[in-house]
Amino acid sequence: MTMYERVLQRQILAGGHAGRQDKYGEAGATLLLLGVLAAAPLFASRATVNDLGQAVCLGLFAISFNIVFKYSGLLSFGHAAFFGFAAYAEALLLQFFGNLPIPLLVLDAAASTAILGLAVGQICVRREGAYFSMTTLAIGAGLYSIAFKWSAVTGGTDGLDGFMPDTLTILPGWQWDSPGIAQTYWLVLAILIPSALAAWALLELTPFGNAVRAVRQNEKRAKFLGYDTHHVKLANFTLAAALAGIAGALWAIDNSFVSTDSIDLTFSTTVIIIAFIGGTNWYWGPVIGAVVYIAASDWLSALTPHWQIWLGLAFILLVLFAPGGIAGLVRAGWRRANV
Amino acid sequence: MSEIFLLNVAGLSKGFGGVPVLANVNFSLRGGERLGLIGPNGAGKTTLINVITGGHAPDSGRVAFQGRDITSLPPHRRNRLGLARSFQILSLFPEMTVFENIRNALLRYRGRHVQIWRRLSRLEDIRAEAAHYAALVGLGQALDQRVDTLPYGEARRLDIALVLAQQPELMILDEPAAGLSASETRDLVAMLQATIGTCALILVEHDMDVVYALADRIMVLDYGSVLAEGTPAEVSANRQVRRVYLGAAAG
Repeated sequence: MTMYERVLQRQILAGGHAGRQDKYGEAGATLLLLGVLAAAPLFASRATVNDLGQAVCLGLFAISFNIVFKYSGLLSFGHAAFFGFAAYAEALLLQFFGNLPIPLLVLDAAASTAILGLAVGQICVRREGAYFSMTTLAIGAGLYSIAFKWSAVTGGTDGLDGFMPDTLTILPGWQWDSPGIAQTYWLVLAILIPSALAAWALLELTPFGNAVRAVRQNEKRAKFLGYDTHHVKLANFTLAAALAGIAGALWAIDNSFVSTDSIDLTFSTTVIIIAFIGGTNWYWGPVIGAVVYIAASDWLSALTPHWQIWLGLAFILLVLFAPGGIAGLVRAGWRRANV
Repeated sequence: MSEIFLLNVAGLSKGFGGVPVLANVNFSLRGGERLGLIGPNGAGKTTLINVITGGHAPDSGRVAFQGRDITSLPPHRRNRLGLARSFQILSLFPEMTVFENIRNALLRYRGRHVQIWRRLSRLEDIRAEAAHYAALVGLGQALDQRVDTLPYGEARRLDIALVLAQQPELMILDEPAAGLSASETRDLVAMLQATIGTCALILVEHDMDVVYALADRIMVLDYGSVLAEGTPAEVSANRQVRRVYLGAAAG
């Protein structure tokens, strides 16, 4: 068994069996998490809401990573390619078509990213294990160097800013003049939560999602039962790319700034860390991971310039001793309380 | 003159790393015919099945199904033409229940496996059909049991339920009785006799009682070549077959 397979196995074992108790627990936890996020501007400071805006975009991005990891068993090492591509696309769309409704522009960026995902997936998804990871890494590196070199479009190392129009069109005939932090945050959530829920429903409630899970559990048998397993995995990868596209587009709106930071290889590893901190076995776990990651990096970076060492150490400990991440720890506590 | 066979295997050869495993295998199967495939370990039986179902590409030769050349089709396309198989080493969906395993086979067979506008839990017709196939193989009471908690003998029967649920034209069973007790084997034979119906069968099996009970023709494979072929009586009387496989005791 390779190292890679062992890590995958540990993640899956940490999930355990889901009983009826767990289902209610998970539904309750989902409502609580989404409710707290939606209500945050009512009680949290402006700085916190600002951080949360970044965190939810990162959270959706980490959900996208985890859709490939959890539902197809593939570890993407170049996932920032999709997030960054969408962030640049959204910035350029806002710059040139800033008077169009925001949801349309986000949809546009997500659709372009899905097409990119379809093309990239066509190459990567046929490979398994480390070969899949290496292929995504190579493609991620390629897209990064394009963003870095093609400064006429991407602004190179300076990035893009000043693309946000003063007046945002929410829907035709409904406009916001220079929206505040809370307004922008709610706009982001109003697109983000339904998108994440739709992807969840697709994977958990429909025959398509069942096909994805069947291929994940036993690809060989699925093939001999008539499943076109390559296309099933490709469809799931494309779905994940679309979601990363929404995350990147919302990130551009929330930050009003896009740079190579959102497409470089470090960011591709950051999203893995975020997903694992939150927990890969619960669909919303990566969102918790993102909130904790942003909070911890804020707090640690104020204490020491070497904060990434401490964050890395905490990550190693978490993977070793709590492979289910924070969501896994909470679930274990919940089960103990319900015995 | 040229009768269209259900399955036609012509000049099939396959080697692994220079070692020939199949050498010029030829045989045909008519609709509804039941062929027992026997031979010593390493004779190439499983390789032959893999080449027929698409698991391996042959080095030379061709496979035709219902008159159509399928030699270069991937496994899932061959399955959709009506060719279903079980596995010598159990290959199920371990974290799903018995019902969910059969549903995987049914959704695909009914072409509903990629629907995104239906709720999986509301497919009552699929649930009823899955229950029917579970009952056929004696798993009617175990519908909601997870497969990784299933006793081995029951998992073996589930494997066959997945094949039956797709109502194939040809089913290929690779050692379905392997690892079963004598009484489980008797139950399995009775169950297969009752359920196969008009479906054609290729049965790889070491237990000759199972072969005699189910096959109306037997083909003996030895060192990758067809050593003998004929009715059970002809084959068991064949001196060469008795020497390489059945052993003196069989007489």
